[in-house]
Amino acid sequence: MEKYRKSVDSQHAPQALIERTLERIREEENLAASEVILKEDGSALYNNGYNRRNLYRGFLLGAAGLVACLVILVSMFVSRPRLSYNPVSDSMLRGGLPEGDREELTMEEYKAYLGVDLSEWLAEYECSSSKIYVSYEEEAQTISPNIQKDEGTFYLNVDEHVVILKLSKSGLDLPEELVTREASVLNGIVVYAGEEVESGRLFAAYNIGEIQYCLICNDMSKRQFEHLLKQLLQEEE
Amino acid sequence: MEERHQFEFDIEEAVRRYSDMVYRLAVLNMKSRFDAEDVFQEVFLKLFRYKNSIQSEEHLKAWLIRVTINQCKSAAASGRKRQTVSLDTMGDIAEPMKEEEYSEVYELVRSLPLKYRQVIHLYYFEELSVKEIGDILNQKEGTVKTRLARARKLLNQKLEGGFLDGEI
Repeated sequence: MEKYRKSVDSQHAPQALIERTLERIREEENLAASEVILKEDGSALYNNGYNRRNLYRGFLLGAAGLVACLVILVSMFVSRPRLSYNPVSDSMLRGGLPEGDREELTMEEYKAYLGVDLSEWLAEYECSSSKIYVSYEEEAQTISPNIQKDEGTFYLNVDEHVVILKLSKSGLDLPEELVTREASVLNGIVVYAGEEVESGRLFAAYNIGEIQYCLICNDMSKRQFEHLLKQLLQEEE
Repeated sequence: MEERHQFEFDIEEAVRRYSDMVYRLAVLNMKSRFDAEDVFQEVFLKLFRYKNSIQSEEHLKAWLIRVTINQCKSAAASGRKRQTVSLDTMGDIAEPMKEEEYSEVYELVRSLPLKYRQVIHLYYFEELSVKEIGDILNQKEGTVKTRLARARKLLNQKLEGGFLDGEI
């Protein structure tokens, strides 16, 4: 063990790599800041009073428009049907895979197995990471059709919230309280919604075709959560 | 809406503090230095983009390890074709090894299947517990223990004197 530690200890990230990385981060930071200014009044420089007056007018108009949009959006949300949330006591979705080694699949292999192209919505919702596990029938040497169980977990970033989307063709290990009580219907799809009271974690499980999905979020409001769910369900139609 | 605790930290300081950790993991998982460096940059760019989701120092370290491993998987799966520099040329990546047996051990670990390499590195070098490794890799503790045992067995078979005796 000591030999391994010494081997790894001698590896250091090259200083040039660190500096290049920091430079890219600073560029991205500056770009984000400059885009906000550009959107407000359409010009890039603020060198004199004339531009600043235009900027001020632009801010006022922008603010008025924003308020109007918010009023419309709120009224839209208020008038739409809401989900019925079943109280759920189990704090985590437990992986449905049997004990023992799980094997990982690549995204391409999983897409082929599911028969669904995930790449578009994964890009749209900024999937930061994914974990795809399968278990095989005993002594299986190839992937499908010998997959016994599968579970794909995708970590999405939606408006700075981390959202987990789990899917499975073989079936997810869902909390019983979630799927045995009241169901809701959104966009014609039956949805079982749940809320873990202590943590405020929200769940929504639904089936589309052969695949079972479960959307999970720790820190969204119910309205934000439902808005996201509706978007996902619209895209699946 | 539930208030989420936000951990404030300086990005530049985090990059410098965890650069070696991320780099070593990337080198362990990738086939070429260029790919490892790409992974390195992407991981810290993601840290900048999603810094608001970090809840504590412990979470930051675990987050970086998890994202590095996932980024390595994505990079490997994307099938990018580029000119590669073999990692067998250790001088390109690290300071020259002073004793041959260090390089041999490291290369043996790198020769393991990825799932064994990762747990060996996280357990013996990063000194994470089985539970912590399980949480980061989203595996059950039993699976982590099994993989560690199998990895040790493979290494013991290849090394004279064994890699490590005993159980976890």
